[in-house]
Amino acid sequence: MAAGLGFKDFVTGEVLTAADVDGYLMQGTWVFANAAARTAAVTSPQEGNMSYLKDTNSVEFYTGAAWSAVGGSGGMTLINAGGTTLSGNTTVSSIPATYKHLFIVVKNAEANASGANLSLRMNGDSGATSYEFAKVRAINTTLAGEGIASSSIQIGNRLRDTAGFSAGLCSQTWVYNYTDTDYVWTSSVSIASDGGTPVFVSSTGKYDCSAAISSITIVCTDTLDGGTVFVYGVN
Amino acid sequence: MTKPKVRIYDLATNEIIDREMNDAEYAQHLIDKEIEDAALAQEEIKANEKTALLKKLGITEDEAKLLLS
Repeated sequence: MAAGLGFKDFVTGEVLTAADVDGYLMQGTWVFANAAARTAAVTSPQEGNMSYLKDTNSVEFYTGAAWSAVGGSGGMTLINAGGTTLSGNTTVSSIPATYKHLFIVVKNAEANASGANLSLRMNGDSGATSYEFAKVRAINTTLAGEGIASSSIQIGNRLRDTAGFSAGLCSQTWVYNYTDTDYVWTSSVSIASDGGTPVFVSSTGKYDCSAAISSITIVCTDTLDGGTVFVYGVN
Repeated sequence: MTKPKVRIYDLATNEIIDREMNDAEYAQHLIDKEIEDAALAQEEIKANEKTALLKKLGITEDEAKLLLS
């Protein structure tokens, strides 16, 4: 793809060259169905190229190294358009490294058995001590807490209540500086229901990583059979 | 035996893959479940001990909280 040439005031009778078309006339905002379609069409993007993605309703420009949201100095972008329905352990992969933080929202998660926890894994890492987390949980007025090394970070408890009703666990989790390659920190809050009693969990975690986070997995020890995960990139 | 399913949404290809857990994932799933079951069992033991102690002391949970406040 030709680099943008700026602005030109064409005069009557001037010959329009291919370079003029590419460098001036083609430098508008290109419209694509999604990022994959853009990657397929624009194989060699140039700094300053602009595009609009229909699936995320986002306008992005090419920095010379990556596509970046316009107004990217702040704001949130829903990365997985429309959210991803939870079905078993659910992974969102190929997360672009173009944001500062990730914000993960789980809405109405349900499992097929009682008492299950909801956890977060990154980069498919299930090392027994790859993660550390501390949590505080309140069930009615009973408070309990723990801090442990683990193979995941707990982000919610009591996915389905003990009476067997759908608890519809909802949670929000920040993954800070997810492109760091030493440690990544998380903070999370969630609400569920245990026999009709609200179950609140707040946790903070650390992931000992060796590469930027490019995938997250919502993990449940009982099969997830409902709910949605939304992954936002935050600048 | 049917293994639990997993879902993978690849943002690069916009593709959703639904499949059974592979052997490594299933092995990890069993480990996760064992840990969680142990934690739930521990919670139940503690709850039973608490109930037994309150009964022994002849006070209610609210009264115990009042004593400790």
